Amino acid sequence: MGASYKDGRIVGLHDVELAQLAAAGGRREFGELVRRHSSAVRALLRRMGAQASTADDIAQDAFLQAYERIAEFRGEGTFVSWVRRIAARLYLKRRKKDAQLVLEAELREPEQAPAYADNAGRIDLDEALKVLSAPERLCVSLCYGAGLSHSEVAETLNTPLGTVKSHVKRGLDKLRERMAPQGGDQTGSRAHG
Amino acid sequence: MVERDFETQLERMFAQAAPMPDADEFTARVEKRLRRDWRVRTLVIGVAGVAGGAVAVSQSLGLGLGHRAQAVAVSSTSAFNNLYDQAAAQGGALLQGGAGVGMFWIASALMIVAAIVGATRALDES
Repeated sequence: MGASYKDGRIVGLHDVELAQLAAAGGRREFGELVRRHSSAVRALLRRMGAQASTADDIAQDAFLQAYERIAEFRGEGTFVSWVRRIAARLYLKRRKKDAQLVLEAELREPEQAPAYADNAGRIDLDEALKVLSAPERLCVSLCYGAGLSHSEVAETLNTPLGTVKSHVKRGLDKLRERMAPQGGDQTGSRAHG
Repeated sequence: MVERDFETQLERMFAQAAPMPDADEFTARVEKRLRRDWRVRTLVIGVAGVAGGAVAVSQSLGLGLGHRAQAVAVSSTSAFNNLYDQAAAQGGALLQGGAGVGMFWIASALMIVAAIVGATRALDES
């Protein structure tokens, strides 16, 4: 398959090929998949609201579970999307009680921290997510980060579908407003290199 | 349309993540756990196999299955009979105790071989 090694890394193989080799017992190939995608999985968990250490623990478990189930990955979507879904479900499973509490809690609007925009005036996603309430952030991350449908989120959280849709809609509205290119004179935004 | 564009953009932004500074350490931790899990699994399977084999052998001896198997073998295959007689005639102490004892030693040998293979694989993989 044209694989070669560089600085201890496997290069020249697509994720699907690495997954096939991992399914045949190749732990080294699976390690390369972890190396390529761990940051994306960890970032998603943090964006969902997990603390850094919790996010890392769950990300580890998600990759181990992915290795166990690697034969189920058929390359229909991307490998990282598949692992992100596993990670998101693991996170929800562990924090189902808390997540429900979060969804049922009285919405408290987060403080409007100053937004950090890039040179083009666009705001970083992580910064933008900070303006969302916890339920909005969780639902938006699950739908657009983990690729779950509204129904799947509602089912997983044992929450009415309408509630999930409301959180997603409000979250999107806030993000759209927050992430729209901003003029240089607008207050609350400052460019960083 | 604009709404869909924004959602697509959002999905793309979620998919992008800056490499974390400790990505290599994280990968090393996952690989370490993979190795550990594999060793534990090999050990559990090996122990379970040996235990299962021991139970099977003890059950076989308890039921006198060895004697019956021997009787069937002797009556149906003269070749086996000759071989067995030859081994016994040569004073094979291991087989002198009868078919049950013979089966016990054969099963024990197989268990030892299985344990050695398992241990060798575990060492190779570590």
